Amino acid sequence: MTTTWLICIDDTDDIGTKGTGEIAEEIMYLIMSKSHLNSVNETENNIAAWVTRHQLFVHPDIPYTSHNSAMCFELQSALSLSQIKQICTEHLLAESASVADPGLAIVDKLALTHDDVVNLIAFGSEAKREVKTKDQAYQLAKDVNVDLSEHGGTGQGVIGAIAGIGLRLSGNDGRVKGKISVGLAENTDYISLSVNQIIACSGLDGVIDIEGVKRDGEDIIVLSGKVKAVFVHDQFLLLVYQSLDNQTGKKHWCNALKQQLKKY
Amino acid sequence: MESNVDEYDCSVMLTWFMFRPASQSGSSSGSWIFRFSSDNVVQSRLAASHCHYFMADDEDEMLDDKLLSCVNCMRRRWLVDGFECYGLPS
Repeated sequence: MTTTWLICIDDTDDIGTKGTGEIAEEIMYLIMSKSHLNSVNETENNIAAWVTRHQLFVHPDIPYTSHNSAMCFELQSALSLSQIKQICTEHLLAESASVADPGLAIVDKLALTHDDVVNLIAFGSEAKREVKTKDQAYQLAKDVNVDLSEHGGTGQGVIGAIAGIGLRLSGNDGRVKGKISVGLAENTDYISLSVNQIIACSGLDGVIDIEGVKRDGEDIIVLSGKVKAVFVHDQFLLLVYQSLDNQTGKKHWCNALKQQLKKY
Repeated sequence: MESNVDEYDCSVMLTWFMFRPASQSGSSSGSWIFRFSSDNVVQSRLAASHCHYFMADDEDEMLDDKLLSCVNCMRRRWLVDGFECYGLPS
């Protein structure tokens, strides 16, 4: 029997060290790998989603290094909580920066009640605009049965870790870590694909423009550079904007610029 | 980007940053505050093009499609209303 796990980490890096997103992704693949090895029935495992990055509050009272963001992912696995936690903890200890204050939050998503979800989302939203404390994070974790733990330093990362769980549960926060593969070769400037083709080749759920409108399946998108997705309406969506082609005078849809992705 | 840092004159960066001494900042060695809005990628790129300390951040933390830009630097630290640099010597 599989469980749907939500796992979030925060405050693992320092200048020049491996990023928190990369560590989160590594943990996700490690769990998938171990799930596979320990599985009697392979079809019960390895259903993984994307790692999402959630921006938190930046304030002089919050001891972040250069940005303040948490990284969260969801996956299904037959491994137990203690097995999942052991994988996460070992990797955090091995890969976190020596000066970091890592926090880890793990929860069985489907065991959460409606009130639990509401409380977690509220904490996450508040952590985007106000200073939260470790005591508040641990109290919430106790109330909603999130396994929250610290793994070095001050352990301040527990705040972002549980906030990230809430923001992921909101279904309307964050950018997808990394770039989306759409078949754009390194030496190719751009590629034009329909929304349906993008969905088929990337695994994303769709395409949304910067005004918040979902694009139709036949709309053509010109893709170039780093292709990035956002987490909106509980879906992983490619973000696009309309650009004017100076040569033809026609408008076409393009994947979003980094400045446009900033607000997610 | 860090070649010849010993000969580097940080005063050139005063066009884009103002130095806030330790007594006025949270840092024990003072901090360099970006003078412009963090959305101003033109000035961010110009500043980075004159800086010997640029170090690319994780791609997921970058906010400018042009790599050499202070908002893409691992040594910038976001503030409520902008960012500071702690790559430049105090």
